[in-house]
Amino acid sequence: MNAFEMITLSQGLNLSSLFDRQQDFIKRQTRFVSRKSAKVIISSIEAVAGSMGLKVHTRNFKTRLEGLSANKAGQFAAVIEVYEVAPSLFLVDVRKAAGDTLDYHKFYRSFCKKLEHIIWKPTESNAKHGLLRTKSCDS
Amino acid sequence: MGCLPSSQRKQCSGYQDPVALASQTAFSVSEVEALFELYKSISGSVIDDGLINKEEFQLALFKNRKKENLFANRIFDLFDVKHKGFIDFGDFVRALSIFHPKVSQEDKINFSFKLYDLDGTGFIERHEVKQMLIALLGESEMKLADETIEIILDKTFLQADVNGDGKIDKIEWQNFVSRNPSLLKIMTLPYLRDITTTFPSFVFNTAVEEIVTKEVVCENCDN
Repeated sequence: MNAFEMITLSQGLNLSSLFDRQQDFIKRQTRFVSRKSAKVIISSIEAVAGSMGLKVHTRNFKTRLEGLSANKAGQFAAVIEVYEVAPSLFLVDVRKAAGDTLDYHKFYRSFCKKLEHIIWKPTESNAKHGLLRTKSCDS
Repeated sequence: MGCLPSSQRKQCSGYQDPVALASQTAFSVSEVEALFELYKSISGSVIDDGLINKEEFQLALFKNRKKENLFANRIFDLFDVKHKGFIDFGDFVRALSIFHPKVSQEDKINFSFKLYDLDGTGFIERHEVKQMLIALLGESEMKLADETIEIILDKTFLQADVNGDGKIDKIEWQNFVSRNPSLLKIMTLPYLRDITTTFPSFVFNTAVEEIVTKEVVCENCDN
């Protein structure tokens, strides 16, 4: 091992920590908007989570997903809550409940890809609903 | 002074036009806006002035604002190109751009060279590598005998310092990194590709937060 290989192990050179702030994570939860009915949203979430090998438990618009982490060494859990913001407009909030943050982000990305059919993407014509700019799962 | 709510975002003292920043960097406009969410959080964590000072940077990296670290200091200095003593949003975006997966190896190699050239002489000298190695060991609370450190340095310079003048110049560094590509691992942040997913921002931020704090019961659903 040469000196530089050791140096690259430094915590001070691991800028990915900038993206892994606990406080941030609580404030900036991952979320998306859907125009489907809550029933469809929840059943889609359950189906996708099941296909990703996760255990699903839903009660009152709150779904808990559980499974093993990517490296199978730890637990992974996420909690999803569906809120009705306006008639036929739902905010789906996804939050990490247990496990590694990196795993969580990977999960979320994959999760959203499979849920494209229920995720609402803003366009010119629907901007009039007052959602001037939202970020959907993919940009 | 500080960061005002998103509707008055332009008055946040660190804020710069995302379109301009996107054109200068590897980021799209929406990615720059997502970075602004991260920036706001870091820059407001100790003093809410819309700028990132050293303590806030340390807090972001180590979750400990008092933690001093040689490498974090180097990164901070390279972000703060004009040596103002703080990092503004433009600095933040332009520096992070170099860590984007799609940016050239050349840019990353250049940045890493400057990083390790502690005193900015244009060469990475043996005493600098020694200092960095000792700092790294200190992080893990490891102490190696001076002899052992010298052996590691000898081995390193044998590989990197091709002309044997006791220091590593830019060309030698480029060649050395090409032979040891894992050394550039720290120069790429895959997170940057997903930044808009990690930090989604809504214009109606405040309004939504008010709604979601009360659990809204869905009328159309069966229980």
